[in-house]
Amino acid sequence: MRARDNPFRSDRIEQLAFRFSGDTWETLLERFLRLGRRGAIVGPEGTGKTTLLEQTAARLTDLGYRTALLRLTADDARQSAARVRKHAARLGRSDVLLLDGADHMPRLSWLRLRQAASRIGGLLITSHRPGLLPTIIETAASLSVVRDIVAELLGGSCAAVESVLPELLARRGGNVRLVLRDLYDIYARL
Amino acid sequence: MNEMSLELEDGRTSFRPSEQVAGTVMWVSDEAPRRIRVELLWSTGGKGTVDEKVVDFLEIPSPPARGNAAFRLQLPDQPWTFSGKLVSVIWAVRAVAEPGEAQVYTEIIVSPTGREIDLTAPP
Repeated sequence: MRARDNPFRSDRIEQLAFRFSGDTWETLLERFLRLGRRGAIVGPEGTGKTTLLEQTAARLTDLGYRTALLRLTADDARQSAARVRKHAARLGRSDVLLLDGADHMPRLSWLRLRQAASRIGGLLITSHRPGLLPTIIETAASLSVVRDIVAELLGGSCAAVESVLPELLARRGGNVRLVLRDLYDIYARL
Repeated sequence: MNEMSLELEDGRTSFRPSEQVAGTVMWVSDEAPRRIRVELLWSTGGKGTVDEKVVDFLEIPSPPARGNAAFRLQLPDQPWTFSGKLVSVIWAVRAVAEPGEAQVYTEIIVSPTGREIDLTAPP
C-alpha cells in the first residue's frame, strides 16, 4: 500500500481527538481552574498526554487565555530548560504556559521555572510521573480506547484488525502510539 | 469567507519539474479578507513526521470581498511526486484567506512522466 493511502499515516493520527475515559472537557478544565491553573497531565508514554495538552491549549484559547506550548525532550533537556525559563519570564497574568515533557527538566531548572511561573496566568505540564504539580488527569491506554481509535482511522469499524489489537497493546506495554505504528506497518505490507 | 476555489490553467493536474503552474483563484465572502495567499507546496505523508515546504507563493494584499486573481508559480527540479510504503511526496496548490480558516487545496502531480512514481507497484 502507498504511504499516502495508509490509514495509519502520521498526519491522520495527529488529528485524532483525545479519548476521555470517565472525565470530560468540562471536568478537566474545572479541575485545572480550581487548582489555580496549575496542574499536570500524568501518564505513561504513548497514552495521549501530548494530544491532550495540545487540545487543552485550544480550549484555553477559546476561553480567552493566551497560550504558549513548549516541548522538552530528553535529548536536549538542559538547553530546552533554559529556553523554557527564558520564555516563561516574558509571560504575564493572562498567559498559560503548556509544557510538554516537564519531567525531562533538571531538578533545579524545574524549581526555578515553578517559581517564575507563579507570576504567570497558568502552568499545565505533562509528565510520566506524578509529583511535579497536582495531577489533574492520569492518562492510560485501554483496549476499548485503542479499538475506538482504530475504528475511526479505518472508517467506522476495527473488525479487520481487531484480533491482533490485544496482542499488540500488550507487546507495546500500553503505548498506543507504537500500536498505531505497528498497524501502519501491517497496512504498508498490503 | 463563504466560498473559495482554484482552477488550474487548461484543467491540468500534472506538471513536469521546473514548469510553471498557472491558474486562477476565486473567492466570495461577506467581508473583505486581509490577504489571500496562493502557495505551491509539497508535503510528506506516511509513517514519520509530516514535512511541508512552500516553494513559491503569490500574496494578494487587501483583496475585495469578491474577486479573482491569476497566479503563476514556479516548480523546482525536485522532489517529484512519489509513493513508497513509508513515505509519499504530495504536491499541491493551496489558497488561504486570512483572517479565518478558509482554504482550498488542489493536489497536482510533478513528475517527468506525468504520473506519480509508485515504488509500491510490482515491477
